[in-house]
Amino acid sequence: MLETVSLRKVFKKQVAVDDANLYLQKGESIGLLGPNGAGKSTMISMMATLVKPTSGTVTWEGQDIIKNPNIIRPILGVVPQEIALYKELSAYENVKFFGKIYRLSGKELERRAQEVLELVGLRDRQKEQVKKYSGGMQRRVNIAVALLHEPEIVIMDEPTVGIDPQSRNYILEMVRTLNKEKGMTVLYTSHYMEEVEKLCDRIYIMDHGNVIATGTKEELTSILSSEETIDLTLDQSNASFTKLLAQQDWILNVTESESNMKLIVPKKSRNLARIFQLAEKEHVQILSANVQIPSLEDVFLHLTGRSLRD
Amino acid sequence: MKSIFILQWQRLKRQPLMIVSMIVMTMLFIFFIGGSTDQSTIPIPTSFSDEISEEAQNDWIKELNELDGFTFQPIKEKVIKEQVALGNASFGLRVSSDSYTFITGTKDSNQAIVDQFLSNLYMENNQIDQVIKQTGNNQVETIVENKENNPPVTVKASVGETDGDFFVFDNKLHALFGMTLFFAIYTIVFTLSEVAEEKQRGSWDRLILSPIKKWQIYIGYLSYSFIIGMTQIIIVFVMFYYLFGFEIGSYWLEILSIVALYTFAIVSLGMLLIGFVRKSSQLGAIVPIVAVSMAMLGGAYWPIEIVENHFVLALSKGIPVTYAMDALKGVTIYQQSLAENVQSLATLFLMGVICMGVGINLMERR
Repeated sequence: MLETVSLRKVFKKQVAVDDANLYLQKGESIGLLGPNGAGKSTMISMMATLVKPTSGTVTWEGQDIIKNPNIIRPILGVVPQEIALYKELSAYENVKFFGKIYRLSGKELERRAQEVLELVGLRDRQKEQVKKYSGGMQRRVNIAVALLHEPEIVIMDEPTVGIDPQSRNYILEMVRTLNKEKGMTVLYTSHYMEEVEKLCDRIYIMDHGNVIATGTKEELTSILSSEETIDLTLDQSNASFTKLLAQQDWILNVTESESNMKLIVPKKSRNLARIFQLAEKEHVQILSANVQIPSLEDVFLHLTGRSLRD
Repeated sequence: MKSIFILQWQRLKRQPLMIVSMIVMTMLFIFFIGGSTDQSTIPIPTSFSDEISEEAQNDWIKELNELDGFTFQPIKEKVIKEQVALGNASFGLRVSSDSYTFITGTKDSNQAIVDQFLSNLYMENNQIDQVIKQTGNNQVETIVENKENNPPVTVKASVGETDGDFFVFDNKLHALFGMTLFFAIYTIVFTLSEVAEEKQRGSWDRLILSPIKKWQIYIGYLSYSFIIGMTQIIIVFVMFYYLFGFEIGSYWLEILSIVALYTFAIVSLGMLLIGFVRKSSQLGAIVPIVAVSMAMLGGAYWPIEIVENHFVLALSKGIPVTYAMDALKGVTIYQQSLAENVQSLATLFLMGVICMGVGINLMERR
């Protein structure tokens, strides 16, 4: 088990991670969810032994990996957020270089190189320079390099940032295969709720350096079991209507995006009727109203008071 | 270490433009500065008084041109004055049978060298005239000349440290050494900036997580930058020696040793600079400032011997270019051995060790 206890990291006076506890069991797929600047990257850098914590411990099978990083490094694969490749070289040359760094050679190196290139779907285009690839293809090579030495644990730091939906689906399917079929332990950070919902057995939500909630998707959404979400589409945005809604005691949270609004309200009858009454008072036309079961996004909104992509 | 070293060459093969352009730039600047006039000697416009016949003038010119590094060119006095007035020559010379006069426009340290030479020449001629007068023997001059050509005892003398009052200036070699050392700074530091880029890009973390040791990563990068820097310098020297006839001499082993120590010092300086910057893009702004300042202060553009400002001279003592130029000129122009340049070489080595230590420390602290 990979475990952090009271992990804290302070950069000068800025607290990046504060008293964070997290564990990752063999074969599990864990999601670390949070907006930009929540402290996810610092957290996984400490877990990957790349950054020393200010205080707290990180252990693997009970052994302190901050003091002895070599315990975990050989079985760890890290996919950084950046494209950590040599773009003037081909995908094959990149994979081969990192293979050599991991002391693979000869037929074994060739076999592993072809295997990972096949896994990321780039075997046919392996001889092309990485800089000529699309963003999604570059991200796939970025993942391939981390899998080359057949790690037991893979830490992925937002591996789908800025890529097309097709490449994203490809990567998500690949991660799922690695975890479910090959038994690889996965720690996946993202600020895309749907990715974490799709891939992960358990989820940690981070904000401002703190782990603010943890559990399975069901456990997390049950936080809002007594509430419901109402999505409204208006004919046009109306500031006074938004203000009026925010002033209502029975509305727990209001967020607005152009002419769409999201309200979190206690599960009660007559919620819709009261909203329509207020709309009529402000001469606002509601084009549609949709009552939903709370999602992880709503949980995050409830816990932090802001949207994941703020 | 080997994999990282080979990786850099692989990448160079794909993007050779930077190195090639640095070599081309070096060559262009050497041609521009050192080869713009096809002369490695300083011209001295010289006129003669009427009492000296045309035949005697030729003898004078022959005798004057025995001074290494200068060419005395017979020109009318009026023209010399015009040249000096227009700034085309810093000084000219008017030769009479028993005295000489300088026509000076601006202060030029070379005038002192010419003055010293002429003073000795006139003194020697005067002594011969005195002996002829006293002995009545007109063959004295021939006897002295024979003795000079076949001396009973040969004393071999060599010029040691240039003391600022006397130095030999070879424009071609100065441009060759100066420009080559100057452009090598760019190549070395820019190839080293890859370390900073690796850190930004995240591939450094990949290397750190791998079984490879950190010192092996550094050695891989440093050895590549060292070899690429040395190769660039040697390519330029060899080309100018064999293709363009620059008189470096046959001191290749000495030159190689000096270049190796200079390259080591610059690689280390590069590490120090990378230790200071936060992003590799900042290097792009810093390197030209550092390289140009070092070239100016170290005497790559003009001979440091003509600089009189004590503050500038003190600053030059902290610049690797100063010591490399000194040693290269010492070996090629003054025919000094490596042992005679040991101070310059030891300083380059020391600078390298200090900069490397501080640079790596700064990088690791980040």
